[in-house]
Amino acid sequence: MKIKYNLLIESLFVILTISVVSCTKLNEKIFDKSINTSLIQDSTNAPGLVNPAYASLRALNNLWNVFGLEEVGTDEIQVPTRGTDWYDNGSWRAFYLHKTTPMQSIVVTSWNTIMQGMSRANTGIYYLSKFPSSPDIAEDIVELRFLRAYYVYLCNDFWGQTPFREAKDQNFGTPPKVMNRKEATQWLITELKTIIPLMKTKSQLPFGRVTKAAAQTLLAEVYLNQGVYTGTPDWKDVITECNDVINSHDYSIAPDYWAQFQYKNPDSQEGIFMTIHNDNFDVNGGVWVNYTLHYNQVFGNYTSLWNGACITQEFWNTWKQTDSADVRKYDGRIIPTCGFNQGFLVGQQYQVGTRTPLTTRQGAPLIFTPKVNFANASEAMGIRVVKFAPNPQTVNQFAEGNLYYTFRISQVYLMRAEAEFRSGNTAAALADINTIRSKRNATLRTSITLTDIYNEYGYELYWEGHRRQEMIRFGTYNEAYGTKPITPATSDLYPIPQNALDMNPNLVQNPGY
Amino acid sequence: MKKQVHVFNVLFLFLIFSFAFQAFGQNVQISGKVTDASNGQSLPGVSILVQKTTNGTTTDLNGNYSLNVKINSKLVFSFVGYQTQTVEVRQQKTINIALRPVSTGLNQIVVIGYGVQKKSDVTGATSTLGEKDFNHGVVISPVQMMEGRISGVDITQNTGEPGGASTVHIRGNSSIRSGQNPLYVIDGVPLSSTNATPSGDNVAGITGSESQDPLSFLNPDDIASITVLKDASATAIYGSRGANGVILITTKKGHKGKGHLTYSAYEGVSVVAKKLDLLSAADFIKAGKQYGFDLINKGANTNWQNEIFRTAYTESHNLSYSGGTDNSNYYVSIGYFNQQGVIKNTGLKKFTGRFNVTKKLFNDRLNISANLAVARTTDSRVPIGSTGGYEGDVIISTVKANPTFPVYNADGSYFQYGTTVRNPLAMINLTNDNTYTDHILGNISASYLIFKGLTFKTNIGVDHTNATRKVSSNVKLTYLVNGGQASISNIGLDNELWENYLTYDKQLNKANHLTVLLGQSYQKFDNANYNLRENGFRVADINYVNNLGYGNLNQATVGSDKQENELQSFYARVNYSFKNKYLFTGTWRADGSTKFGKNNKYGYFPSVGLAWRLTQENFIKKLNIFDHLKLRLDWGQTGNQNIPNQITQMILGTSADANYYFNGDPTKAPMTGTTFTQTPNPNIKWETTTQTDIGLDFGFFNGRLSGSFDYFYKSTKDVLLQLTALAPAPTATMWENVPKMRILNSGIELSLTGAIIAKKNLTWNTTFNFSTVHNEVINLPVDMIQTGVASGSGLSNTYVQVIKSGLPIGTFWGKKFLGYAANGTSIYQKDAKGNDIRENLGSALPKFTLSFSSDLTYKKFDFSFFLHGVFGNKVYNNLANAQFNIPSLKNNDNVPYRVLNTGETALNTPEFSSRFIENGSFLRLSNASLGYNLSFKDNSWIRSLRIYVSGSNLFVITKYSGYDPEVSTNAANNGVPSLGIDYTAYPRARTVQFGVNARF
Repeated sequence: MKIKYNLLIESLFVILTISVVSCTKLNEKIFDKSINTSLIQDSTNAPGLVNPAYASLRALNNLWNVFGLEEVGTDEIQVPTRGTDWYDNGSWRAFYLHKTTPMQSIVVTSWNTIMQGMSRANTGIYYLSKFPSSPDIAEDIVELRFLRAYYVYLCNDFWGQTPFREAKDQNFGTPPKVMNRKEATQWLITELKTIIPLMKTKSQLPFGRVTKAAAQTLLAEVYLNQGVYTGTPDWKDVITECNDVINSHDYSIAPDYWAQFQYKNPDSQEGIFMTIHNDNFDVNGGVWVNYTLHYNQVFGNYTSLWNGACITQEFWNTWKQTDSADVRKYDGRIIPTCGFNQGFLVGQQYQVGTRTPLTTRQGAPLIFTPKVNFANASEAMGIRVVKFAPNPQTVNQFAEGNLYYTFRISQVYLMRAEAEFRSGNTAAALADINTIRSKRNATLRTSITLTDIYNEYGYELYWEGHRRQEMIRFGTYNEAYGTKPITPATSDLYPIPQNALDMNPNLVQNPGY
Repeated sequence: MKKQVHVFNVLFLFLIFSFAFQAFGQNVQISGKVTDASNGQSLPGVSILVQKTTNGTTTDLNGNYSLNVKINSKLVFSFVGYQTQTVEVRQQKTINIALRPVSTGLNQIVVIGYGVQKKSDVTGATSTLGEKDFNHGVVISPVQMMEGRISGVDITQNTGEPGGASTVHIRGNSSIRSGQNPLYVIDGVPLSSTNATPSGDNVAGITGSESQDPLSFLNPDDIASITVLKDASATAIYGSRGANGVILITTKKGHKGKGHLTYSAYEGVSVVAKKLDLLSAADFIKAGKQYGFDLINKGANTNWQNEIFRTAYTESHNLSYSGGTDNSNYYVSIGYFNQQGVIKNTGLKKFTGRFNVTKKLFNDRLNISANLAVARTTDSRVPIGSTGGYEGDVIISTVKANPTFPVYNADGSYFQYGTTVRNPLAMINLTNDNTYTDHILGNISASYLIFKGLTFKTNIGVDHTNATRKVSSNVKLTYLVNGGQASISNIGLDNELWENYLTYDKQLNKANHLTVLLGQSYQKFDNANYNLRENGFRVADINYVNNLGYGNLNQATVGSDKQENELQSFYARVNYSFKNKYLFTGTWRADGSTKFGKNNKYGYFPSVGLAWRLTQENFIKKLNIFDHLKLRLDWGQTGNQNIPNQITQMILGTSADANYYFNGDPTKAPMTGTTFTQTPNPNIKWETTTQTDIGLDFGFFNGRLSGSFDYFYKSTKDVLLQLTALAPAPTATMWENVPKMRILNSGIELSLTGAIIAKKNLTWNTTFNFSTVHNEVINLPVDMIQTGVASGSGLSNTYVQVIKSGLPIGTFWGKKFLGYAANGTSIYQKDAKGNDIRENLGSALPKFTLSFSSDLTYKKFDFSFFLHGVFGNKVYNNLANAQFNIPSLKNNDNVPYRVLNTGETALNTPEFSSRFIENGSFLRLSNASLGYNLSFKDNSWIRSLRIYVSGSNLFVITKYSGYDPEVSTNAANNGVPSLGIDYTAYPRARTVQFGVNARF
């Protein structure tokens, strides 16, 4: 028995040795990602920390993202159900009827993109603050603060509740505080006023970066909507901020309206705050033409067209109040390469090159009509819009190479006109409106009404992501049109995404949902 | 009992005779017959060996043998599933032997985790399939070999594609995000759970081809047994990987005796089991007129299904050679398998090789055994994707193709109408999609008997997979706008194992028996992937993957990644038996993984099992009813750690969507952006499933009827979910072990085996399995998690399935379809205010499953069949929702006849509703086979030969309108898997095969 126990002890010893030798601490090894490296320790990498917050802007400019929240459900974009197509779980119908739900994927996607943008800005601010301070680093941080403010602004505008973390709050396991609409509006005013003096102007920065004017325009827009947000309008401050932007003379209304909507990121004299897209690098496509053009309007490399979004008849009717020669309605420069025009696509459509009339899939002439039967539209119903010219030779047909404008100078004139008019200064308003119209081959107005200003917003900025705010401010958002009934004022806000609500106890569902 | 006495008498007489002639010491020619002691049936293939020599033979198909042996030698009769008997040769000329089956003797040895155990001593719920229990027909993987055969194991072949994967659920679904697949352990080596199917190309909207079966590298002919460990007492020894059950696969070993060569081969002929009843060209035009549509008529009459389907042939050849001596044995095999799919240009080809060897050294104290399997598999596929894009993949393009369109133009090129309507035959023939998978699985183990009862074993295993998928899409496909396209993607998986354990086995005294296992194991899993894709190919006559130089390199995209995780474990097991009556098993395992957060590095998984062998009690013995009766009760905790790597880490990275133009130059590529690529959670740990099982094993009437019954209750906590992050956070979602949430599974399993007829020339054995599982999710922290992403035009943003508190996983959720209004639009159930209501439309999980197998032999004939049924489950017919409606007809898409004259008009919007949820119950005749067994004289060059004809999937009784109700197209949403969705599933085949098994 003694031998046996020796053997037992020996073998146990062997096994223990093996076990101990082979024991690992189980620290995860990362081979394919950079963790806590020079990326955040070497200040030459600062641009890398700024880029992501900018990059999130690109994701917003899409029908299935913030652009959808801004435009679908207004008179500028409707997506009717067309036979088997575009029912999409009732989501477009829900937008049309202002009955979006907390599970609606566009609402959820937009929320997520905005939150990610905010968090990316915070990450940048957090790590940049650890670098040795320098004017460049300080400038980077200010830009990120502006971008963060812009995401807060979007969240506040759509949902009226804004979860917010300070940049130093890296504990993502705890629920962040939530600012209500008044608090967020106040936060925005304070934050923007703090950073505006620190920001640079257009000429001091590389192309496409956010400028002092962008921050001032955003502040002007916050004031413009302050009546909606807090119940207390502030027209005077709108005018002050707009004056600053206009009087900086860094921006001017272009003589050629459509030049800025051409392919290849033209150096726009109007653009104040814009997003750069480049189809060669296939990042976050806006699919501007795919979702509106008819299946058979193929051109260049664009073969997959989806025949979806169009304008409402009501929006088309507003164009009766301006000249038929208004350049903003139609531009033919892309017809040779694309077969269709920019602006509104109305009536018979033609094939690119041959100019033979196109037909629907059923063989009927492809004639786009203003009248749309929302619940069951035939293929040719609805006037289409091409605002951004596509690149027919692109290799990424779902991306685009256009500048997307969040703010253009003409909008600043429009905002000032509205604020002046609402403060009783109709003459100043008329002057601003005519400043725009004079550049758009439109007859100058001799007198002006609020509706004229409202319509001018539509003429100038259609399909650029502003309509929902305009309609809410001018009180038309909840009016009945088409088969849409009058909707309650609660539909001015979107529902908080259900999953966000489930997780963060500081959020409460908006009324009406 | 009478028979046994008889056998004993015979043996006794033999012994006396033998003794009488002992002195002569000469050779004698012995012959005899070997029968089954339980029913008198002759046993073919029994190995007879002269002890301590290699001299031996096997019985022929009638159980007869003859052998020339020395007097005084001992003959060893052995046969799988029977107790081995040894008889001493004296002077007798005839030795007839009746072998007792172990299934009634309960001495059957079953494989358990880290060891083997007598079936009678097992306290957990396990089921074992031997060779004779496997599914026949064209099977390429162990999963297919066991489908339907074991109660409580629900296997769904996701598609009918050659090599297609199956969904395996053991005792329900105990997880949402971390995989529901069981752990596979092959000859002691646990496999990695990482998918080894490269994703392939995304061509024109066709994405997400289904994964292939990860076990198809094994040659079914090499498999000796499959054991399924179902409850915690059995699986807890596998700790954090045991929660979904464990499947232990054991490959064949050589047996003592002269080498045997076996050859088996079959040729199979397959056709698609069902075609959809689509409109002919004439009826298509007629239907168009009836509905007032001016449909495009190109004048042809094409049956597109006939164009893509074919009569497919399968051939399989396997050659193995095995044998052994007292202290060594070997098994070598090579296999060739070539299966054509019923869709043209699809198929699977594989070469397999195996070498298993065991050698005993130092007076049998050291036992070294090595297993090596190599396989090369080539999957040939066509553009079938789990989403088909709006224009459609091969399946969608086929069913919707306008029947008046010709296949070819007058010049012989493919007729391709526009860019949005696809010619499925062109897609098939102008795409080249091959996946080459090399798989090597090997292990070497050494066990050393330190002293009687104490054994030390070390086991080193490696498992290597390298899969490369090469896809090229020819420029002639008009829907390719950027020229021809090529993609090469690769997955490399490495899995290394080293484990050491001590087993102490001791009969303490007459009443007490103790076995103790103590071990440690370390396993490392690596995966490294790369992919590249390029388009712009203009030439049409080469396979682009062979020369990427022809494409537009400026349009090439590349990517790669590499991950690793380690698992370190310590485990122990105690088996204690008192008087062979009361059995106790206790196991414990600690698993540490690099995947777990730093605050939760190790998980601990205990289990206890008790069994009471009632037949050892006198009061039961007295009843004289039971052969055996055992009551089992156990409890334990197991885990599921099948979560992605790196989720606990704070990772700063770059991604394309974080790049931007900080430098202000939009003409160039954007500059990289650095940000968090995930929201880390340092507390992540395994899911824990607590399972209780009560079971009864029983046998009556001398083994004529036996079976088992189990009831189990499983509750899973710390469920891993990717929940909405507490925004603003770096990413929209974050991994969490959700507190309070539970996934419950409970159910019963019944298995009955009966030897209904046991006559000399006629035997009939049957097995019946029944199981039912009740699944429910409770305390989900969010209202619902959506999954089941519907595909097809007009179905964007449509999620058909939900995970919701109070409902089972796989619940379909949507509007209830009531019929059509007068104008032909759909009417749905509404609430009192006239609002739409979404409701529970049933679950994809079956209410119960059953199977019935029958094996009949009559003289030299054998006939067997296997029926398998699934009942009470729902299937979402996504294909019908997307295509089979009147508005589709208006778009010039073909539809089945049943779509006409239902009251639907083109005004209707075919949105997702209960209209497309169908009853998925089915009863399938999985296989029927008829064989004839030829026997040969002992001195013949061939020992035995069986020829057979067999049919697979001969019929399916179902109300389902699609190709087949047994289907699961991947429609996962953000990694939450879907169940029971049929979109682009490769249709299943019906196969007849002719085969031969020969033994030399």
